[in-house]
Amino acid sequence: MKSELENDEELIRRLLDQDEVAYRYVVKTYHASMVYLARRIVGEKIADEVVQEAWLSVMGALPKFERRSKLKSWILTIVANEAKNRLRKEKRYVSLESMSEDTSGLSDRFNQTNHWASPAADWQADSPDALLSGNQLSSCLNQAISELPALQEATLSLKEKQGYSLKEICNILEVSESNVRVLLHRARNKVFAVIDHFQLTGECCTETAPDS
Amino acid sequence: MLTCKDITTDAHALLDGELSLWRRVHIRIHLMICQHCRRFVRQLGLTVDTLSNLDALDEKKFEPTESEIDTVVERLKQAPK
Repeated sequence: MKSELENDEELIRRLLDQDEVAYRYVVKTYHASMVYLARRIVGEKIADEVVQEAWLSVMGALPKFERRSKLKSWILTIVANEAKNRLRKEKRYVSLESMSEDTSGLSDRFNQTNHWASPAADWQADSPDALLSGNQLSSCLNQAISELPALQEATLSLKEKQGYSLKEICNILEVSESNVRVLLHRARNKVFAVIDHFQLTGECCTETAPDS
Repeated sequence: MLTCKDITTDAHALLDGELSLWRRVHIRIHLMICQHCRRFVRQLGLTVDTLSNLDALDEKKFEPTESEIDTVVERLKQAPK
């Protein structure tokens, strides 16, 4: 049963038939990603409400789903839209495209000719396991990521954890491809800078100024 | 001639396989002569590999319980079609 539902077409067909097994499958499979994304955009308190609304929108719009993307990407686009609409209603909406100055922690490490003035330390690790041995850096990085601006964190998760392409991320978050690149590169650079500082000093520096 | 700052920008696109052959050749030439950028590119790759191991980016912590699934499914069944 489950393998049939892994096929988007079959899943959609059965959802349109209001099949309860398909309903349960789609909620079980996609709910966590929806909550994660909603929390990034609207915050923890109202994320669940936004996701509930998004589920109703998904089911309402499903007959018109044009299959130009995978079902999961399309669902996440609806979540992002619901979340942004909610921010607009509450007048908390700041253009998600707005990009302010780069505070990635690398921009001040070059000299006037744009060559390294303060190069990275040699990390003495050749794998993630070696790098994260001992819990200290791991918890430091988790903290640093939680301090990233919302869209940087969402982009990082969609790209590095969930494996979406940059194009898919633009569609989900409805930001331009060049801005998705900026979000991703800044987020990676910040994580790089935190690891580098830790390698150099043994200390966690996670003060990150919100910048988008 | 590319600067080290150019390399730190291009390193992301290099890791994501988005650069033209011509740009990759330019980067390789720079990396041959710049130890700091070689280290940056290698360690940025390690950073990206490490990200997928971190709990902070893991959506699984929000997986619904059976009763949460029941609640959502009930709402969907009752929603006007």
